[in-house]
Amino acid sequence: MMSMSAIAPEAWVAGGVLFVVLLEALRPFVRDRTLAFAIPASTLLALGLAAMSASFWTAASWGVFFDGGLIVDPLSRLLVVSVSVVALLVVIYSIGDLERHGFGHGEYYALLLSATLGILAIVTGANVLVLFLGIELLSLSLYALVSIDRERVIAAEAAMKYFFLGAIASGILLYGLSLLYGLSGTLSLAMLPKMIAGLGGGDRVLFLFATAFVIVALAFKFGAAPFHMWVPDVYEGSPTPITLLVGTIPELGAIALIMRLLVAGLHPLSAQWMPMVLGVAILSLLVGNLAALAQSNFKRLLAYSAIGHVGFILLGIATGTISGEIAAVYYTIIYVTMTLLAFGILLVLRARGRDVEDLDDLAGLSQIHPWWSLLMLFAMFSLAGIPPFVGFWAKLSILRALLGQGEVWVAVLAVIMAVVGAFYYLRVVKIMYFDRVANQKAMSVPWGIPELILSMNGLALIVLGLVPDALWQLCAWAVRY
Amino acid sequence: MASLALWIILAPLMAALVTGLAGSHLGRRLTHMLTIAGVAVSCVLSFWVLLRVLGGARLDAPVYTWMVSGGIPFQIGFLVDPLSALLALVVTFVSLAVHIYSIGYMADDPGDIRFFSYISLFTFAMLLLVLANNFLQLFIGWEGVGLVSYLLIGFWFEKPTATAAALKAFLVNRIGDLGFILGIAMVLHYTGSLAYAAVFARVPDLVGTTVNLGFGWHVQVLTLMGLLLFVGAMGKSAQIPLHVWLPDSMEGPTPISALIHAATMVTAGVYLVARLSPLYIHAPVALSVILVIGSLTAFFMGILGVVATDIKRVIAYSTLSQLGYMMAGLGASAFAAGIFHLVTHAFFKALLFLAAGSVILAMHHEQDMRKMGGLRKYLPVTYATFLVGALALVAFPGFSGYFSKDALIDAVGQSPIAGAAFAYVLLLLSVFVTALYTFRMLFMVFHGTERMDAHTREHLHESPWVVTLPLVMLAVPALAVGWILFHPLLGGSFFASSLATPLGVNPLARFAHLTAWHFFLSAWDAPTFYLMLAGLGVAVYGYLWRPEWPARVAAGAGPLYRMLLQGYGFDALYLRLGAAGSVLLGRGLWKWGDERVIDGMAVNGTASRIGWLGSLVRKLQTGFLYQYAFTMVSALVVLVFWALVRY
Repeated sequence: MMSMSAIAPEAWVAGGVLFVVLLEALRPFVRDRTLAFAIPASTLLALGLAAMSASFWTAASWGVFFDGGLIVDPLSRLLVVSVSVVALLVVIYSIGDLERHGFGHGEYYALLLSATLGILAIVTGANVLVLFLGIELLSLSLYALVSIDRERVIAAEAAMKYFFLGAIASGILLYGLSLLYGLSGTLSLAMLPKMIAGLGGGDRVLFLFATAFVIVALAFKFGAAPFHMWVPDVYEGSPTPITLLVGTIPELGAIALIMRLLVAGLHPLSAQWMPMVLGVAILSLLVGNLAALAQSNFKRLLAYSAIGHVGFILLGIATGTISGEIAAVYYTIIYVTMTLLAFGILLVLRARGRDVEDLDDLAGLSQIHPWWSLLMLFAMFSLAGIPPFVGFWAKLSILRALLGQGEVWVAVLAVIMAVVGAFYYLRVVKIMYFDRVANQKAMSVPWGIPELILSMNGLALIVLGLVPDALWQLCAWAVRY
Repeated sequence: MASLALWIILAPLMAALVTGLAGSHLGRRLTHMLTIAGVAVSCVLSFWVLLRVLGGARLDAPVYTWMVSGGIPFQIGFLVDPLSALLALVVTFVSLAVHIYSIGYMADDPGDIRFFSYISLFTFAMLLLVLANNFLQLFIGWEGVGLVSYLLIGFWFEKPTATAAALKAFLVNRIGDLGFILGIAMVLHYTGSLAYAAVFARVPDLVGTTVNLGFGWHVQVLTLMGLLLFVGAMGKSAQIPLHVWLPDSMEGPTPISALIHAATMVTAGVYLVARLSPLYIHAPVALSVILVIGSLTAFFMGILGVVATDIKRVIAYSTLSQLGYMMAGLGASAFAAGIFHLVTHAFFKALLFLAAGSVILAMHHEQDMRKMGGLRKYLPVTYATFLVGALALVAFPGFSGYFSKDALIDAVGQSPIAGAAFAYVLLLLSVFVTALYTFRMLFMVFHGTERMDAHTREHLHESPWVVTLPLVMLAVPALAVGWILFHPLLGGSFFASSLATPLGVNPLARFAHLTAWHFFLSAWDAPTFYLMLAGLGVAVYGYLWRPEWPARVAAGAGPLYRMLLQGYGFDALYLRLGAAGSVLLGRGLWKWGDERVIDGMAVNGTASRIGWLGSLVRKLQTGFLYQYAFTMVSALVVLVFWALVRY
């Protein structure tokens, strides 16, 4: 019984997937579209409610279950809740747009829930195989989601690229993992460090070899340079609701993967993998921020900005310190909040007849939609790391971790790249507020729940920025355990 | 208690935010009601808190920790003690009166929603400052009131003079704030804390510690700290030589002059010094500086009031002079007397400003006193309340100003601090000057011949009740507050837990057993009474009996008179030295430093180089799948080799 309650979140979501598929089969009989929405929403809400119970957060419910297959600890609790909240927000923000464009079928919800299930498996996985299964479930769902608008060539192209490169990355990961298994004889993440620590010279080289493979695969999943090539194409090619999904939920899975596999599992080799991660991080910072300068497509710009932010997150991991790891988790959660806002606004604007593809489509937005422009300004300022928005604290925490390790030059480079980043974020603000376009027509659409929640999402950036400590303490509690 | 304090500051903040963001949807009436309700709630709660403080309740607690940096917590927290509770009540009460008054005064102004939002925001910032229990929050409130002051001086931003005055106020306060923030940094450095209680506990250990300013010049840490913090107070409280912004701030609407530039914000500096009295009693040199600067401000700014012809400017110079009095009182380490004068001044000066506003309203925004005269029969309520304010200002026995100001002057006379004798003489002379300019104003506006044009005279009538009600609201405390507060504040133990008592001679010792009644009866014994009568006599002679006489005196004084008209030439000096020098320096930095080095090389150079890099990186993204895969695999190979080589 104890074990079943431990996988309650996963079980809920898995049940949700099956139910949606079943319902889709009964489609001719079930005409009510709201039902299709109700299932994922209630599934995810149930997760949220479970999180409300006191036992969810107390040590009584923690432990390792299913013969070392799953682990329930503060980190998994924090990320399970984050993933379900983010998934719920994604559904709420996208629902209207999907309906309007004819993608509001069951398969969207089934794929969304199975992607969530994959991440939950990564988050709670204590075994290399479980992690791999989670990654594959996530990836396969994402490939299908990206191509949900299969009539559009650009979407199909993006999905193909994503799929091929993802397959290569999966192969690399599987190879690395099989090496690890062959060397250590264990699949358990708890046992792995002990086996590595007990090994001598020659085998350690092979371990390093395997570690390099693992890092490449992780960097791919996270969208870090030089394994980032799929990111801009997927962001641009997917319909915006899918971009919203791809840009947010998987990031939480990626940080979980890094925390579990690299930080915990390969801990004894940290002195060796730290420089590799650092290299990937610096490259991501450079590529992401510099390439974003040259973008004229807004979604591509956000794609490169994502790469730059991943660079920041990896910098925290590369310090190899607890405070760096806390900062990385903190940064990821904050980054996801900001990205939800930015893409959510794009969707709200689409509902008001303004389809933003290029940066110029934002021109004069402040005249017509002052509130959404203001929220977009919040998102941009926060992404740029301007106080009092919460993005500032995210960057500051990473920089503090770097300086704590004496990595002054890396910190200086990160600050310079943040300044470069500020340029293109502020350019978005400038276009919204200062560029004028003739004959703008405003389409008045009444507010619904999505608009309300999106506004709260935007205000959260300020509130969290004014009270940065609470979330930090939560992340610290999750990582320190 | 903590939640009470929280609501005191939150009520006006919420009113300001709601009306500021959605005011145009709410409309005027709702905006007025919301902001007034916010301040009224604040005022009632302040009164309640003061009652509880009188009952012995105290609070010194953080509300939340904003962040922890370098082991030092940066917190928002409240200190509720007699000092802050009393001032919170004064601030909210005057603010409430000004809110009500503004309904009438701003009735025809298209921007009055913005105006109400601003004054509520101001009330919030001022309360944040007053109720702070640490330097950080004090600073936030300090900058907050400065910002709103800037916004309100430039409220009529279509007027170039108003924007210039706003800018001037902001820039001059920058100078003060520079000293202030250096002072705060010093406090943090030497005590390791920003919380008042912790800082004050460390102060006695710092006595005797010196800091090397270079060239072997050693200064007492506490002296330097006190002086730097006082520079901040000089900026806010407009002490010589940082006073130049206050007369110009009269460009703002009159209710603002009453609330911000007379009753509350400008006294923030006085509050700061009093609040830090546990620090200042250990820094006698700093106290001497405060004493001398305060008395110089009191005297020389008062004289300017005698030559000014704009009714608001006269009151502005009078405010400067009274602020000088308060500072001098603090400098004499009679902290309670300084705060007492702050409180009475808040009421009677707000009253004078609002009454002047009522006159200006009746005169169709004419502010020149030479075009007024004989108004008392047209504006009876305004006249009566103005008279109360004027008598309080000149310290006529029985009015609130008498109790606070004469006690303050007496304390300066008792003080053993260096410079006290000099200050005492200046303050006594200022009594004469105060009476002269106050009665001159009273006679020029309300008595004598009617000098306005016929059109204005036809339309003269008393202001509506929303204007006169606040006048009466303020006239009552201007009369009564001296009687009520004299003994508890100066003699009793009301401030025992808030203000430090001086280490040596206590200049207020004589008031310990003196009741308000006895002090009132002893008015005949003090020189101040006769100096005030002399000022009254000269004003009666010059402005009622022989109206041609002042012009002859002015002509006779010649260059002296012109110097006074130009405010001793401070503005010209700053323009020549400060502004022209800055412009010269700025031009040099601009032409050479900015255009050549920063723009040419650093900014544009960097930008174009980074832009070029960006386009280069962009080219790497070819869109071909095989290139993507190739990049991935080669990166993997590089990483593997790197791992092996490093091993």
